[in-house]
Amino acid sequence: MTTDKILIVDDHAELRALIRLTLAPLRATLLEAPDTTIAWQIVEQHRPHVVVLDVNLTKNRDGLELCRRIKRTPASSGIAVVLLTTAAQVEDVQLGKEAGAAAYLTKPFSPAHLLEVVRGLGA
Amino acid sequence: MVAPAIDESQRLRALRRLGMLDTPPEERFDRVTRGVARALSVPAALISLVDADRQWFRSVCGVDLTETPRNVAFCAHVITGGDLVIIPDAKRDERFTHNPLVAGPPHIRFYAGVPLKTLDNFPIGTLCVFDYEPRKLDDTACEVLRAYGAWAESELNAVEARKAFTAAVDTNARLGAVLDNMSDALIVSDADGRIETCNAAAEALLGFPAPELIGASVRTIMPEPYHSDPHGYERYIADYRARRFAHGECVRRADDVEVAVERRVSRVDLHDGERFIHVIRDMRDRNELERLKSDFLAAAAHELRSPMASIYGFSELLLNRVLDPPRQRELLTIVHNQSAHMTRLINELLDLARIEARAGRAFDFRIQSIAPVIDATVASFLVPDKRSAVDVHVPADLPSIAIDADKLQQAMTNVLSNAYKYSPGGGPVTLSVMLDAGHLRIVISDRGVGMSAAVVNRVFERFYRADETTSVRGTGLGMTLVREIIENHGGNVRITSEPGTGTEVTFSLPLAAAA
Repeated sequence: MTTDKILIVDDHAELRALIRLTLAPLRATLLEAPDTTIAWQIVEQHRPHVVVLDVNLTKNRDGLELCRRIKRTPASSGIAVVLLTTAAQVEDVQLGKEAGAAAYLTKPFSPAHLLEVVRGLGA
Repeated sequence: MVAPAIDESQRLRALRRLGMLDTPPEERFDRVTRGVARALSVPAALISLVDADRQWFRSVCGVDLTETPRNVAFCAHVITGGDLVIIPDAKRDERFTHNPLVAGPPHIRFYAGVPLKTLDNFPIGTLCVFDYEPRKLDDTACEVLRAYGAWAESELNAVEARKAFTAAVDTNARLGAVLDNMSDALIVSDADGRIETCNAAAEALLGFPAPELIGASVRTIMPEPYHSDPHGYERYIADYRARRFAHGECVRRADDVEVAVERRVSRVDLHDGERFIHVIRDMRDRNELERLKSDFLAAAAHELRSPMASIYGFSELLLNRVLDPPRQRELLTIVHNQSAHMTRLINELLDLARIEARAGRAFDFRIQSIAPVIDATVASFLVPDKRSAVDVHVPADLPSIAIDADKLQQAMTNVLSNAYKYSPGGGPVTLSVMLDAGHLRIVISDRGVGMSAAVVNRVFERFYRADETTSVRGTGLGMTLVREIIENHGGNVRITSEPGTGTEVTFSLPLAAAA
């Protein structure tokens, strides 16, 4: 699996910038979305290989829902989803796994660790 | 019959309590002695009060006496005997042959007396009749004497009885007022599980009016499994005795809804049997509050972790990667801004938590003039670059008002800051004060981007931000704090806004604010 095209979904602009900078060494095409609606459009149009997705995009935690949608839609189910969340509870990790996430990182996260995780997906 | 021994000091205290000794004659007593003398055709009748060492006559009829020493008194025998005493012929009764009242004037031969008792049952005197000839008293005459005795007794006790009645009514009313002003519901049930008493909070919590509760079985208000079990009450008592009551219980309301309560049951022994006192606290609000608190904590943690993620992540990149100086500077700026944002967030969270935790006690209300507070607010407000100062309109001669100047200044500053932030195209920001129907209104308006009705509805929500795209984000707590501050002043905050036209925020503060 390649990691040539990566979509970054987070409602905080500076966190998108952080992730963009973190993943720069991969020399991949980096796409950004501030919410799940735009993110889904990008998923359908550009078919990224990896989605780095903030779970708590809103109070409704619709990041998790986007993850489920990606995994259950046959055309996008091959996309690897890395979930980022502020919640660090066991049940959240479980929910993330059930939603089909490839990896689960809690904020604040180490950029080196995120890079390693995404690199690992391409190996 | 042997009368129970009487504690003489208590008896004397009861007598003195009546306050009758050595008082002038009263017709209500004389009517009794006159009546009994006539009814029994005897020459003399007395109401005698037996003091420590004398008997003093409250009323006399047919004889001229005020008091005699106790040691010669016939009445003393009635008091110790506790019942009607008849002496048909004192001269032939060895107890009285040598009594000076028999041997000398007035030469008493016949005596009959009934004891008179206080409300607390102490014999303190007698109603007695006597004659100078021996005689007998038939059953009818005994009845008559007893009846007049009862009348004399009620006259003696009339004042105390009235006082006791008034006190009982008063105590009842006081207890009722106390019970009805309890925030917890109170139910008292008897040994058979019948509800005997309930308070206003019980009516409100259970949805039954008092007349429907009183006399009903406690089972009526018990949750399942007790409610439908014909032996629910017995099971409930068994569970009570076994202390098997769990916290987080329920009661059943009139509308069959079971609501979460905390119930404490205690048992008392009254002279007519045991009672169970149920104190029932409505836990719905508390549970709701717990939920809000935990939601708030979760939201606060989320809000704090986002800037923390930036600070942690960018600083790690700065440490681990070789970046050119402009890039370094860019990342450091983000770290710096995010630290500032986090500091603001923590401060506002603490302000809010302090205000809420202390429920108004964090405020220092002083009656003062509002003009200097507005001057201070505007003077310390940092107007953004290239923007005109706040346009202030404060009429002269405003009445003084109870306010916490620091808190009010914080509220005005938050709104002014929004007014500038959301009118990026310029345009004046005005602050006006006016009087209206017992209220002092502070109106802050701008001609900025305005908000839709949907946004206006959410601005007081914690962590809600109208605009996520501005470079320096707010904390989403500013307007929540504003509302907390103004509502703690007994006032309210109103927002009128229209997209593209501007926003007007009005604080209404009651002039007679409860400080």
